Amino acid sequence: MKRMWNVAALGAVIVIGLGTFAVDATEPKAEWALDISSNPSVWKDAVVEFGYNTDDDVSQRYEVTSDESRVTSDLNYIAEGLRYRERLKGDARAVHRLMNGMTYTESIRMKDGYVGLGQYGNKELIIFNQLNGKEIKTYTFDAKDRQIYEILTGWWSGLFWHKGELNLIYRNGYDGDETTMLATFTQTMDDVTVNEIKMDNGFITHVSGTSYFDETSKSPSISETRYVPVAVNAYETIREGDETYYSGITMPGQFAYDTETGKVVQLAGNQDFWDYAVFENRLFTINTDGEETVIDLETGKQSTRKVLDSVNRAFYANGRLYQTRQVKDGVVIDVYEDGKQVSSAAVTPENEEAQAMLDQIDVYVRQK
Amino acid sequence: MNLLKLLSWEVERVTKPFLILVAGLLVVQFGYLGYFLWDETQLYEQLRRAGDADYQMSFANYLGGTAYLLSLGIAVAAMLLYSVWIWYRDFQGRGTFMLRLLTMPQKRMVIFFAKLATILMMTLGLFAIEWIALKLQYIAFTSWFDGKMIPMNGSFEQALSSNGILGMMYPDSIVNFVIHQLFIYIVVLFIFAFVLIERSFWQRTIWSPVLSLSILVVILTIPILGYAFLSNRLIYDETIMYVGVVLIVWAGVTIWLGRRFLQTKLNV
Amino acid sequence: MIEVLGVKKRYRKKQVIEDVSFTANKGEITCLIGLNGTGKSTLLKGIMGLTPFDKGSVLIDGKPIDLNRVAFVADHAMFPIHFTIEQCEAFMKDFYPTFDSALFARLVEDFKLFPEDKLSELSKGTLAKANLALGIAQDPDYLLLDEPFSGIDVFSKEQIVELFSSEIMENRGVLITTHEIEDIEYLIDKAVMLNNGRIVREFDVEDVRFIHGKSIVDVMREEYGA
Repeated sequence: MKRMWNVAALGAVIVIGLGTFAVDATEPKAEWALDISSNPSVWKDAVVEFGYNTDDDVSQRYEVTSDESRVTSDLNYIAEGLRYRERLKGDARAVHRLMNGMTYTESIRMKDGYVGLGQYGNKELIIFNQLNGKEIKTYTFDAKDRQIYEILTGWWSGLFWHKGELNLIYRNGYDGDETTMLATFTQTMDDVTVNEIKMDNGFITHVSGTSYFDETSKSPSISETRYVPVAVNAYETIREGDETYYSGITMPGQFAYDTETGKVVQLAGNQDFWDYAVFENRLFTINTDGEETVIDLETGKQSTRKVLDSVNRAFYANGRLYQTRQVKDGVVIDVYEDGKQVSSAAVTPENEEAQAMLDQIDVYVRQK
Repeated sequence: MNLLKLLSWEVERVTKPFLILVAGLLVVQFGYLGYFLWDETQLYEQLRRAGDADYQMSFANYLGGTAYLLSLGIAVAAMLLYSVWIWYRDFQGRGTFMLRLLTMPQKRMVIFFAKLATILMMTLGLFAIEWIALKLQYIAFTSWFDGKMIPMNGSFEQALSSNGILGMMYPDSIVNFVIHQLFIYIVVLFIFAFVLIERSFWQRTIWSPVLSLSILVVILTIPILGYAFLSNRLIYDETIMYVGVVLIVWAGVTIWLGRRFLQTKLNV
Repeated sequence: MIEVLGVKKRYRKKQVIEDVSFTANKGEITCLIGLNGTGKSTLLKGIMGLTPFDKGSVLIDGKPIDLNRVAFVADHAMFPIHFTIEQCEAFMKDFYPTFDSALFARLVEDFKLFPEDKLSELSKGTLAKANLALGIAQDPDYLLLDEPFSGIDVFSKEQIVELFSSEIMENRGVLITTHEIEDIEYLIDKAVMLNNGRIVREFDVEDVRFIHGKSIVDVMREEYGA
């Protein structure tokens, strides 16, 4: 029996050591609440996400809805898997499965499902189209075709859908020699034509509504419009003595590719925007003065209205404009729709751990 | 009850080498910590005199040091070695304890699980001791630099999670800790299965270890090859499930093999 | 009764034990006789399940072996040699429900063993006695002894022989292997002679002695042609 003391002693060491580890374990313990002061229906399908970041601590992430608060960072493998499963439901799973082995892919979300392009190395270009939100049709182009090879090796800026055809905007060249190209895939998905988009200055870097790599957009499907919002970059040449540098800058203002004329046009002025988003067939932007510009992407007509007195942090999500501001006991989120405030809510700390990290959190809202 | 009794015999037999290992680890770690603190302070003072001491001390730097990582390596190597030795020593030498163990009126799997539990207790013990040692080292670290008025950055948790090995040893979540431990035991189970298969060849030639190793390599690689085949078809949550199932299968197969060879095939 | 039925064991291409069957009765001493390397030890270990037979079966009183009733004593230590005799006893007490401490104490005294001695410090003869004491104290119905007399001094041999004829061994079945038959010839009830993995002769020692007037060694000479 005296031999059992060895086991008991080792057991005690384990209990003490791992006990302190369990107590110390950095599993985030903060709890939050979403206090809705007006119009709860706005929050029915919304999830407030936020992150806590400081230099001296392990970063943490949380999600709060009207009825629960949960940690989403450093989840254990099982919880991580369950969370992923919960977020990636139904139709999107098939698309993800397809995109899984691809070395690069971009996609857009249509009413029927996802449409996109992917590549296996520089060997194959795959176009895929999800029909009726279920079955996926694919077609593979071989890179032995010079034209396909050029598409594969170009920088993909993004995708848009026009007249039943998938279009890819990409660019070739670098350091000021960029040319923006447009590849149009036929309805039957087995042929492609490539044209250059002539630009006065710069090149297209991004096409609104495109999901990059294997993220699949949560935002509602985009609709087909005449103007396709794009982001434009240009290179500035800087000379320092004998040396020449190129410095890329994002051109201020809102640009769009006009599908009728095949040109890139500027839709809104040279302002600094806090955020912009496309909802259905309208482009919304919010500038630093709190003015919202709404552009009709069919006609190009725009209107401007004053929405916020001053911008603290504003962003678009789910067809609404959100403005957040830190107050003493929480983060207030005001919600605007069509230029008018429709709701207000606040993320408030529920325990001491949450209180301590309050002034270091960044809040976002996403669709459930 | 027999399991507990046998476990206590096994633990008694390993107590001395275990204490030597623990003492060795602590000496290396605290010795290196002392050297690290002294060296960094010297360096900092030099920079301060030169007027450009703008860098900050981080516990992560100490944890990333060769001597510290080496001490962990020694512990891992010792545990792997002991997992082999815990069986072989009973076959070796003038006193063949395996004769006694196998002729005891009890299920032979009691021996298997007692040895497994011994390894389990030792690894958990090492994890526990190392955790306390880390905490003490952090206290020593902060109080030393505080005393010298040398600025520091980063928290204890941050230093741990930024270190690949320690991040795995002491993950942020208890559930992951348990899962990582299971990984360790699966390694141990593979070693056990290897020894038991190898010891079951009556004709001990060079081929017996080779053959038993081959059997285990096949068991080990089938799921990995399966993953290479499936990885493009499985999405993240399914991959996690796949890994979970593979772990259970590995544990199940190695225990089953161990049991089969221990009960009906082992040769002493 | 220990029944060994048609057991076989091969090593590489050589059949070490080839279709061996014999019985050993309770209350009798049965001796497996053979020159070195004739598979005697392998047979004993096989009965105990320490080197499983390729074929055949072993029954103890008609049932598969019950380790509470059968003890095995090897020709070398069955404990780590840094164990003391005391530690060995403690271990036996922990795991053998039938272990008889009083009997062990008596054997320790008879054999003049020192409980605090480490096995590594014991001479071959003392070790053999310690092994035997540990085996007998299991209080088994059957005792399997592997070469208990090999290489030990004459006094130890005498002590062991004395034990065999004592009341302690009454009613126990003993299966013993040896190649030094002279010392225990008169104790043996039954002899099983092995050569090249086969039984060449199985006989009642008394019969041979009284009817044919031969000693076991005489029979051995006949069989092994030595």
